[in-house]
Amino acid sequence: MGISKQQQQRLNRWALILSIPLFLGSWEIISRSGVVNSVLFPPPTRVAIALYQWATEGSLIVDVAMSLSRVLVGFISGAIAGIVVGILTGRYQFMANLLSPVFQLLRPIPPIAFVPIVILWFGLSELGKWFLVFWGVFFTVWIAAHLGVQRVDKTLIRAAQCLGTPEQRMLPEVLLPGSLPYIFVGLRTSVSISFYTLVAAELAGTFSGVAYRIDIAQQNLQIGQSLGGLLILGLISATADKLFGAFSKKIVWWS
Amino acid sequence: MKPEPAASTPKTGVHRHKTRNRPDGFGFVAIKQLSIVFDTAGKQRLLAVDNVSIEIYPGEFVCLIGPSGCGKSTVLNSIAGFIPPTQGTITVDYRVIDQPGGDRGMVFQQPSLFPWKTVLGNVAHGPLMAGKSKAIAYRIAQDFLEMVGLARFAKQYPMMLSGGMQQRVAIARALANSPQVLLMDEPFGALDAQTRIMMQENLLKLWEDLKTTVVFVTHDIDEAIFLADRVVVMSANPGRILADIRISLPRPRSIEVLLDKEFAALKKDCFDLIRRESLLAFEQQKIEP
Repeated sequence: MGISKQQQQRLNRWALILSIPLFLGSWEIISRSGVVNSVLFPPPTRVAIALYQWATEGSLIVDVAMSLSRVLVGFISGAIAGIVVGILTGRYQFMANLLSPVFQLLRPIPPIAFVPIVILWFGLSELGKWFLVFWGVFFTVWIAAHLGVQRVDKTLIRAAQCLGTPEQRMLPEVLLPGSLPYIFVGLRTSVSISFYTLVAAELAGTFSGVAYRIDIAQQNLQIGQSLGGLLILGLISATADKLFGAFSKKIVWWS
Repeated sequence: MKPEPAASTPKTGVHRHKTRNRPDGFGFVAIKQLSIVFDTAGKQRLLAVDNVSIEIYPGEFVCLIGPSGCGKSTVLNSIAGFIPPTQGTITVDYRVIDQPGGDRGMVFQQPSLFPWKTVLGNVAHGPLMAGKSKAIAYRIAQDFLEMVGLARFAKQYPMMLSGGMQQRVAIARALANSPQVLLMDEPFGALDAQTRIMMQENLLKLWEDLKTTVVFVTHDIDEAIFLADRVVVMSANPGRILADIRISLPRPRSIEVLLDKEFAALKKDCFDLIRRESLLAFEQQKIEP
């Protein structure tokens, strides 16, 4: 006895369709049932209203734009620096000997631990936020590029040498494309890292931003907006990750 | 009687890759008393190649065979410039080899194509690196793809091709660079038997058209005799030359030559030599801790 394969497949499909509605529904019921304090744990309908008000009467667009700009500036600068330095240390033993010990020392320091120092150095300026995101991204991309260059198929390098590829053309012709699949793995990890770091950066003190707004709303006991902010952060971060995944599939399609 | 290279450089000839019988006389490989020692992990020194001397003349097709570990690939990699000689010298057209270069094309056991480049882009790589214009490089590449019968796959990417087709692209890529010598390291070892025979016939046809000097490493005796002008048999531990056998089977050869009486006799000679060596190596391995 049991259910047929077809029935099983139909059940599986319904599980997927109902996943999010069930989650929101249970949340709504629990919040409103009185088991928990609905001020501290508002139901999704109230979160939606808070989000709507934030968007229409508040500064949602500005907050999202500010947060995105911090992530973008930190991510892009960290990624470029990480790739360049990683290729140098991966390719030249001298550069590796010079820089790797320092980087290995600094790399494990969580960016969040830098917040007090960053406030001292940069005040509440944007530079401090960029620096923190940069810090989070740089080391991840650096190590990916460093290892990527070293893991380029040795036979490919030999094949290129036998085809008369001069040393200065080796980088653009073989080493960079050969290490791109590794670099993109590092870059994709860094997309998530840059959002983690963004939160630390905005909690450190600023005047706008999604994580900043979450903090402020909490202080005003507007928990609906706080939770809405979390949803927004999750949504943006997940979208960025998906977009980057599609982008990297397009760029390093052969891996 | 060493042939002297012609005074003019080979690069100036129009359609040099279409010339026959290498009238330029390029592609003379001289290996003199080559010894190669590897430092292994346990500070032990391994004598991989011991006092090997071979002269390979322009346009000649020479196969190196021997049991595994006889240093045949090491010799080839040394000609390519990847492994420096511990003693002795290697010259190609009287220039001492001390690094890899475009004058020695190489085909590896794995096709080793650039996966991010199209088939045409792979074959055009050498001419482009040699400073040819894009238009000329791509025309040369198209010519060579035609010669290996893959012209209609020019726009595809290597991973869409079968292993045998990829290896044909690798051969076209090495030849498109007009190398003085073509080095081949068990290039058909990873292919199935049917494809291998097809590849061998295709390679012979190419070689008869281009007359590039070829040094071909294999452990397949049939393959060596079928392809080569000379079969150089090497011994294991340390790698030495056991015999240098001239193969005077008539050309052009087709695969039916494998059924020839003379072929069988040559094969038996090589087989006996290698078998004795393999047994010896096997015994040595038992004695050594």
